[in-house]
Amino acid sequence: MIELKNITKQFKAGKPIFSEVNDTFKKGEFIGLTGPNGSGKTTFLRLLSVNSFPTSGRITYKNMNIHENPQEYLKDVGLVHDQESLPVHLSAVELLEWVLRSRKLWSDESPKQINNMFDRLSLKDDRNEQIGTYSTGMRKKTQVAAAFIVKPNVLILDEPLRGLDSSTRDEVADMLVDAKSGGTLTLMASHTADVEADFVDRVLEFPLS
Amino acid sequence: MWTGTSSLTDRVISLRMLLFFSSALIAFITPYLLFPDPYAVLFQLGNTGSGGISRHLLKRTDAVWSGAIVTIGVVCFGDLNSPFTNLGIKALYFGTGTLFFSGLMGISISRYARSGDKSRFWKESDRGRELRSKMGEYFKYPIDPGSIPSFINTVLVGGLGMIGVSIGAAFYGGYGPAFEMIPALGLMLFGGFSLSRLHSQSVRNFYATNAFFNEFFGETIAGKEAESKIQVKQLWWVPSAIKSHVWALLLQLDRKFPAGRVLLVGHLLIWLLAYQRPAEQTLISAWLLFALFHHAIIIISLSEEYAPAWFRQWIGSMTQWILVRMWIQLRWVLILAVSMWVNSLIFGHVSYAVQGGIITFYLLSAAFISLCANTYQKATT
Repeated sequence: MIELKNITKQFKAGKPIFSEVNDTFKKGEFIGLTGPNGSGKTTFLRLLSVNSFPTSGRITYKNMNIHENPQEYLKDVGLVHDQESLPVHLSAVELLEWVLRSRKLWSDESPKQINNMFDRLSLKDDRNEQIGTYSTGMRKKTQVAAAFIVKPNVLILDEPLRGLDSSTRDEVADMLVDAKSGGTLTLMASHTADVEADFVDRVLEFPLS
Repeated sequence: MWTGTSSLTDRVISLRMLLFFSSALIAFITPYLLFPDPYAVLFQLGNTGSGGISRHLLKRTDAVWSGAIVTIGVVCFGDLNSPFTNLGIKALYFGTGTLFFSGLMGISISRYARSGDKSRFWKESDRGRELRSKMGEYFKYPIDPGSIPSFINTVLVGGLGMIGVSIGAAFYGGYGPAFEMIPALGLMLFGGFSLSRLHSQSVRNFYATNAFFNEFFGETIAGKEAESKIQVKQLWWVPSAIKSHVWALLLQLDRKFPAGRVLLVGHLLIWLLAYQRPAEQTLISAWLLFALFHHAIIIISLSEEYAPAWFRQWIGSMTQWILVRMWIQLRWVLILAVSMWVNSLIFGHVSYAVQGGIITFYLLSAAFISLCANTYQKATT
């Protein structure tokens, strides 16, 4: 599904974060990324989410170079970014409406679908307040909801469970299992033992050797 | 209107028009240039003192100030026919324009940077809550009392500048060109005094005001605002490919600042100008500058708070965002055209052909500014 061919990334010449990485991620696979701070997990996911470009090599999705066709690729991708940056003057409900409408996924059922998603993530009345007033955990829930609502083929998640309370973490874990069983390829970075969960098929240890 | 071959009198009139509209621009744009400040975290880490913060506040307005001074220089000295004649008078007016703009900018920076405490009081106190409920009964849309100090600053700074231009023109008529500098000198002195007041308490004021603008999210979406907010189905004039983006951006911009009310003030000012029966060229210049002034909204929409870089890329393409920022400007074009048409029917200044030209200029400048703004945003994020 996603293939990495000789991927090297360095911010300074001669100091690669990782070099000549070759790998293939398949449909329905769950890849955990783990490693200490600064080992390259976020950079790796930023490359896969087209927020960063490789120094050399190429990444293909369905035989398409993702950095040459970002919009085509991102149609199939759900993202939870490392920062909790979101449009602050919209409510969480409005944000999901924006995401669905811009992807031509809006239907009469969508408001119910959005409310169900936030019920599941325990974002109660605040779902109708502006995101700028949210706590870190509430922003993370909004990001998770935005990533899942589009039913993506690829999920790229950078610390999606950080800042969430334990019951919501369990709920997100259930959502991840559901997505995996539906054939979604998931790449998730985490500092914690989340990557040791049963549903993780393979763990990439950073720094990559 | 200014051209490279304009006479000295035309240059003076152009400069007055420029300063007149710059007053509105300074009054309106200053808080958006200053707050919320992304460098606040760095100042906390370094525990920067009043000198550093004062210099930083001035530096944040550098681009606007430099652009204005260059424009004033071009209006005064950009003379293709006789570049070396009347140099003394041209220099005098360049000095007048520079003092005027710098002074008013100083006043504006000082007032907005000190507005945090008062704004928070009105937003968070019981008195503010009472005021909100009373105003809600009288107005169609909810008004946040926290925005009242900013609104007062806008009116005061804009009004001060416009009155300054009028007094300067009156001095010119009564006593000659040198006396036109008096209001500009007055503004410069007042601006310097205001900034020195700010300097003595700049650390306290900076944190207070930055905190307020960081927390300023207006009214909640539940209740009255939910009934009045813009709906996707109302955007029949937007192509479906960008409709969701235009909707989300307009919704957020409407919550952030009252653009409609600001532009209404702009229309009233032009009508006031037209009532005084100026030369046709003067009124055309005013309409053109006002058309351009609308596009400050495009610059404001670049803020990451409306759509962070990763999110923009996730849900849209560069081409879409250029079109979106151009399209959000179309909602003012009908009001502009009608205002200009009715104005010309009553005061008889501007022909239909020129009105068409001004609307075309509005549309082309929206497209051009959107293209430049998006290119700049792409290059810097």
